[in-house]
Amino acid sequence: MPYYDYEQFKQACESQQDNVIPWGSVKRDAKDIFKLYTEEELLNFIANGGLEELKFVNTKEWEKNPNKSNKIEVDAYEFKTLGIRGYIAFMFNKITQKWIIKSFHMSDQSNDTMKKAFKIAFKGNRED
Amino acid sequence: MRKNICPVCGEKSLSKHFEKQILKEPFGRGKEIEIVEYRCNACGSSGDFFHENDILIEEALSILKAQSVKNILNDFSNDKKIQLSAIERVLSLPQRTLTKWKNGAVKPSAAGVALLKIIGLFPWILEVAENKFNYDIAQSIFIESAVETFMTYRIQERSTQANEASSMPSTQTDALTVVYSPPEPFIDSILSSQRVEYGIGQNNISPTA
Repeated sequence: MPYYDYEQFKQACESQQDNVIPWGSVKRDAKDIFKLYTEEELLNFIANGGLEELKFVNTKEWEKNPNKSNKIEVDAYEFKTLGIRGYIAFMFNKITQKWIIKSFHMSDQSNDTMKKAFKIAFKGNRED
Repeated sequence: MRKNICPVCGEKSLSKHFEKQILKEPFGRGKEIEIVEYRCNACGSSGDFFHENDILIEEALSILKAQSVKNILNDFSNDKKIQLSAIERVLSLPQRTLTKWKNGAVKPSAAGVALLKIIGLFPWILEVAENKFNYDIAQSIFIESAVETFMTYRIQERSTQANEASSMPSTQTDALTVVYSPPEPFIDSILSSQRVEYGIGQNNISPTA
């Protein structure tokens, strides 16, 4: 069961964009993988329901939290957008009142059926 | 929020860094920009914590997109010898729209840039538009384009093979060419029948039929 209400996160992406912070690696992946170049594009994409077929993965405690008295949980989801299966992880710091997008990249569980099919097709009947 | 406090963990442990990044645009060039990145020494987080980079990125992308539009339109009017007014006609764009985009007098919308990229990559879509987006004709145009591309690839492969001492396939692509080479008359008949029926040909957006 997710720790956070996803709709609250989505709402923040829509109307409180200053309170949502994507990590540096998130912005790089958003640009390179999903062609979302700016922070605004990324947050608007999430706010507009761009993460389709959301599937909750897990909740884990943020291990690198230096302030152990302020426990922070991280929710992770898989999603689909066109042909890409992606992965997003986010958390909320009650003290700073900021949502933090910790990960936004292709899912490790990406369906590689087509990739395999091409591999077989190119291999043909030859024995390598 | 104060710029020395990490918004992720709340610790006063931030340092400011500058990072070079190259933005690229299809049909355009690359542009190097210097973005700000804050790093927290307490929690290891890093990012544009105070939203300083978006304006810089948007400006750079805007320049790259304008260059991209200019390159695509130059390619049509100079290399492919297709008049911009003809493209405007088949796409039902107001006349001189593309000229204004090309000269930078008017900035194209995001949808306009996307359209140009698509026709820049697949110019035969103009033939589809010329045929009023008729599904069956569109399929024929698509197949003809694919066959022409395939034939070009095959001719290149053949000339490469002719220059090689051995005729045995040495790579998977060589093997594919040998396996899937259709007989010449078959391909020729497809190409000629398409042209007769629909009056289309490569780089010809004015059907005769």
